[in-house]
Amino acid sequence: MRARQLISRGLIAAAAAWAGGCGGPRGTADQIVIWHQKTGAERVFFERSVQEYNRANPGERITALYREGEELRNSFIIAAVAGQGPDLVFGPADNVAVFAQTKTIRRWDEVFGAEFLAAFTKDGVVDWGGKPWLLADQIGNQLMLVCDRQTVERAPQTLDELIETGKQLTLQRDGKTERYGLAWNYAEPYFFIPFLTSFGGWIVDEAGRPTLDTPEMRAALQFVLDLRDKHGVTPRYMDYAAANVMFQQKRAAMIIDGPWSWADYGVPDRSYLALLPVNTATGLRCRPVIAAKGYSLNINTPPERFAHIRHALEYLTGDELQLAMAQKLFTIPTRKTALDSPAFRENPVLQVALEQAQNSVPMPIIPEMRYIWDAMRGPCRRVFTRKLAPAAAAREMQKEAERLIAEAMP
Amino acid sequence: MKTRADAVREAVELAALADWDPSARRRAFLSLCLAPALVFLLLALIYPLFYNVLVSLSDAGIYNIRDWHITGPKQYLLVFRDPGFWTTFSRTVIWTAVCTILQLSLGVLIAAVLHQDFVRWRPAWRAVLLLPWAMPQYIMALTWRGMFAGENGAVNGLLASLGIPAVEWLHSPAQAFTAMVLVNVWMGFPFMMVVALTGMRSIPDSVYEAAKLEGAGWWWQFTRLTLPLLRPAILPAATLGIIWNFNSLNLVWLFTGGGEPSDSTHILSSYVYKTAFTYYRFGWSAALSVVIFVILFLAVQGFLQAVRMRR
Repeated sequence: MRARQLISRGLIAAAAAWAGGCGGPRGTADQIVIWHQKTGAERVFFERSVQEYNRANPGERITALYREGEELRNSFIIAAVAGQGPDLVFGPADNVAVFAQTKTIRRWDEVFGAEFLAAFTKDGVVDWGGKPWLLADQIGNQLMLVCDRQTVERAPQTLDELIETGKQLTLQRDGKTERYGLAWNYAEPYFFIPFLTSFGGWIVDEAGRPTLDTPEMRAALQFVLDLRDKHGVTPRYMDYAAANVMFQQKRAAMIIDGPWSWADYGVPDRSYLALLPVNTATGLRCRPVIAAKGYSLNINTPPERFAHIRHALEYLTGDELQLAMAQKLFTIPTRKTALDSPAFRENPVLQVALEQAQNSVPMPIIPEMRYIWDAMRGPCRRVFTRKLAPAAAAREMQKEAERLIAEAMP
Repeated sequence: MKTRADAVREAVELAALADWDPSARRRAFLSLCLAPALVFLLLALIYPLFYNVLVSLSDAGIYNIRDWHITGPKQYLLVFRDPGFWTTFSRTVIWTAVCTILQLSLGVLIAAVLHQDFVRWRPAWRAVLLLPWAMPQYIMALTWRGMFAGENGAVNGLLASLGIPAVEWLHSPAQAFTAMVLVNVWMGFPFMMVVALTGMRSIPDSVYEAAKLEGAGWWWQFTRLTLPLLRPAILPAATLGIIWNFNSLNLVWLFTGGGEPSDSTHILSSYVYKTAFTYYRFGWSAALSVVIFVILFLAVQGFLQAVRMRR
């Protein structure tokens, strides 16, 4: 058993060296390393903020390294199990369940006093098993309706209006559709969720069991299918990149997308944000998933570095940076003072984003979620390629989710 | 600090070495030269292989990553009982065979054309035709994915200009697999072309001149002279092609976005990657890796044996 442990640790260390780019970006007493998955404008903003911190604090240094989401999670676990990895890892709240369960992160109440943590909103300090594991600098990822200012005079308030407005905005010329009313990545489960919630459905129960084979799921799949095939307001083939390009080229009048894209769509000048519509049949609003994003502390970070980490996080999650981020990237702050500040409260775009955030479903922080998302993806796509009827798809995704969970979490 | 006793021991050892016969000394020297490579092989190849076998006999997963247990051959039984394994295995065999045959055929064909005297600017043609192989796979896979995507993709645009209706390339299993094969052939034929071209250059002109004197046509020359004489060069290339295609994780993963649609485009290597790093079933994935290793080993041995027997 001892030999196996030695072998095991040896190999994990080697894997960690590989995962960490041969050697592992470990910090020193005056240097902390952060792995993050911020992209686009958010990454530029973050790297500039880190540079400013390093300039203002000559005795301290933050090194920020980008990693793609899935790779970040896997590499971090491998590295941390081997006693290595970065000091801080930045990512969405749903990573917390896996990190906490693999004992690769440390609770924040071991580093920060109650007073510091109390300055955050309830969603800003992410709990798992009753302990704080993630300190968020933003609440976001809530999908919203983005409308082209030139073509969409008034955003649709209900799904019936969405169909009507969509039809009016869809332009046909020479047998070809020149402009669609609405484009979005409808076959991807995350982007489909708002329609499911508007029919009163959800994907998981409180015990972590998938709830996919339901009348609500069938109705929501049928509705999205009808938007395309019966009403002709959405394109036949769709993925994220295609929808993005179509909206930017004005070949789609509306798009459903998240905060990471709004700056590229020219919000609030060229386009504007609107709440996702209300389902006329049920009276429920389309509610997207919302998630906090923030920092978790590597279990291996030695206590002598805590003071530096406290200082860095006071800056990275501080009011000033959160408000600047909100103005530039449309994120929702997680500190109470930032939320109450005039800079946030008097910004109409941020107030609409906040209203949508309040009409969202928090991402469940349970390990079962990745299996449920994955089980949904295939059948969802096959519905939209007409290979599967909504009822069969709902049945199949439920069965697949149950199988994946049983296999991975026996 | 070296003591007197150490110094004496060293001297005795050197003297003993000096008494060795020349062949023993040569063996010792060669062993010393090989030692670094051997250590590297042990660390980078043999040890992970051994460790992988160990993990394949365990219940290792993300939730017991710090405390997994040996459970015997259970994971192997689960692999063979998984219907997904058999489907993916069949797909991998078809993928490997089709891609290798097409890459090889296209490579040899283009090499044969480039080898002709009438072709001008040969170096330029060679350089252009090598590009698909020289470009990073990552970029190529994503670029092709964009070109095959939906109504706006370049491929459907081209079809539309020819009056052919758009194809759901990335949304239907058969079409996505076909597109994947096309891209892989495009990326892999230049290697076969270069090998074949080098082989053709090593065939003496006198062989062809003698054949011409006997009245042999180009087809006879190609099938009876060129191809048999190319065999020593083509055989290792084909073997490599089989291994590369069988294991081409990068292209499959990036081009199809992780086996989409509905995990219907996985080959064994991408299937094992997904199980390991999306579902975190390390024991199961390790067992599948061992199975893949054995399949590949047997396939290559079988291929080489068949070629040897034909020879």
